[in-house]
Amino acid sequence: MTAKILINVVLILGLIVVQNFFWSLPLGLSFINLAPVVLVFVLALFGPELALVWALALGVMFDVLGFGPVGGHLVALAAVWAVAYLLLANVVTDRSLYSLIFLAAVAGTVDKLAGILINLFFGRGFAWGLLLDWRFYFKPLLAEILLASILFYFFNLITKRIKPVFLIDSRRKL
Amino acid sequence: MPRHWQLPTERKSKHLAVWLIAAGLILALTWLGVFKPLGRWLTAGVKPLLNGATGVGSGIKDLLGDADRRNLETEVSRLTAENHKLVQENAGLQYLREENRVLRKYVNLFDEAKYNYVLARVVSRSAPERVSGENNRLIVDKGAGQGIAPGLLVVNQEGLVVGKISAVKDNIAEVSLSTDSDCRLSVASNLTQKTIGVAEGRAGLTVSVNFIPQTEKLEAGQRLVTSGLEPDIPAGFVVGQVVRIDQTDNEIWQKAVMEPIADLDNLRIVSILLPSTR
Repeated sequence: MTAKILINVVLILGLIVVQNFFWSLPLGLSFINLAPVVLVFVLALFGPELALVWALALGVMFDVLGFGPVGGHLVALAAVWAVAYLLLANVVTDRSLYSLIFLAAVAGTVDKLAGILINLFFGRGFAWGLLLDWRFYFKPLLAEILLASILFYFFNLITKRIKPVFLIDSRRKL
Repeated sequence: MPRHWQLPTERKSKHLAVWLIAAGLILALTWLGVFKPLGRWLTAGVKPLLNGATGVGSGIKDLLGDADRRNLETEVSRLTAENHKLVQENAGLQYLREENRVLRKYVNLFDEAKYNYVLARVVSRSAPERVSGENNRLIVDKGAGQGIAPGLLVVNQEGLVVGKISAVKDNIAEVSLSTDSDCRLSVASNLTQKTIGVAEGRAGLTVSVNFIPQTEKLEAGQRLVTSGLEPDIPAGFVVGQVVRIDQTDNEIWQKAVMEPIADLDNLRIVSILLPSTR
C-alpha cells in the first residue's frame, strides 16, 4: 500500500516537472497541457477513484505552485474528471484509440473553459477576441490528440487494458 | 468483444462518494488557507526540480537560437553600427553625468540613487494564461520572506526592464513580463525625462503606450524609460523602443507601440529592485 502511494506521488511530481518543462519550451509549444490528457488515461486504465485522487493532487499542486485563483486548478481538474467519467461510462464505453482521443480533446476543452469561467468569477477578465481566433482552439487540440495517440501506444505496449486499433495480435482471441 | 476492453459500467463504487466528499472538503480547506504551510513545504521541495526542467527548456531555446545562422551577418553589421552610435551617445552622457554630480553636490541633494535589490532565479514560466493563451509570467524563487512585494520593478543583468512583480507567496513570486496585459508602467521619454504615458503589455508580444498627449512628439526608435511616478519604481530604467506611433487628430490622446529591449525569452536570473526605504 505504501509503495503504491509512493509510486503515485512520484508519478504526479514527475508530471508536474514535465509540464513545467513544456511551459518553458520555445516555438510557442508552451500551450501543451498534459494534465487533462493524463487524467483521461488514468481514468480509462485504472478507474475513477484513482483518477479522482490524481485530479485532486494535481489540482492542489498546481494551485500551490501557481498564482491563479485559489482552488482554480482543483476545480478545473475535478470538472475534467467528472465530464470524462460521465462520457466514458455512458457514451464512449470502450477504451479504443478513437475513444481516448475524443476524451482527451474534450478534457482539454473542459479544462480551458473551466479556467476561463473561474478567472471570470474571480474578476480576472478574458480577452473575448480569442474566441474568434482559430489558433486558440486548434493548437491545443492538435497537441492533445497527438499526446493521446502517443500515450495510447505507450500503454498498449505495457498493458492489455486498451483496445488495439490497426494492431493484430495473434495471441489475443477475438 | 473481450470483457476487459469495456469499462464495467454496472460496477458501483461506494468509495467514489467518499472521494467526492473528500474533494469538496479539500476545496473548502484550500479556500480557507489551511494548506498554506503544506504549500510552503511543497514549493521548497519542488523548486529545484522545476528549475531543472526550466533549464532544459531554456537550453533547447539556446540551441535553436544558435542554429539560426541565416541573419547573423546582417545582425552583426546592425549591432556594430548601433554600438558606434551608442559610444558617441555615451561620451555625451558621461559629460552630463559629471556635471549633474557636481550640481547635486552644490545643492546638497543625495548622490546617485543606490538601489537595494534581490537577485532571484527563474524557477518556471507560469501556465499559459487561459485568458490570453500566452505565458508571459515567470515564477522566481524569492518571495515575501525576502522582502518582495507586488508592484516592484524587475530588471535583467543589463538593467533593462523585464516586468513587475504581480503576486507574491512566502518563498516564490510571480513576475508579469512587460508584454503581459497585467504589467502597466508609467513611462517617460529618455530625452525629456517627462512622463508621457502608460505602457501596457499586449498579446504577449509588444507593449502599447497609451494616454500620450497630442502635444508630445515621439519618433520611431526613441527609447522610453520608467518615469518614477509610481511608488517603489525608480526612474530611468529602459523599458523599450518605440516602433510605431498611432496619431489621430480627432483623439485626445495618441498611442504608440513599443518593443521591449530586454530579451524576455531567455531569462534565468533577474534582479528585483526593492524600495529605497527598506
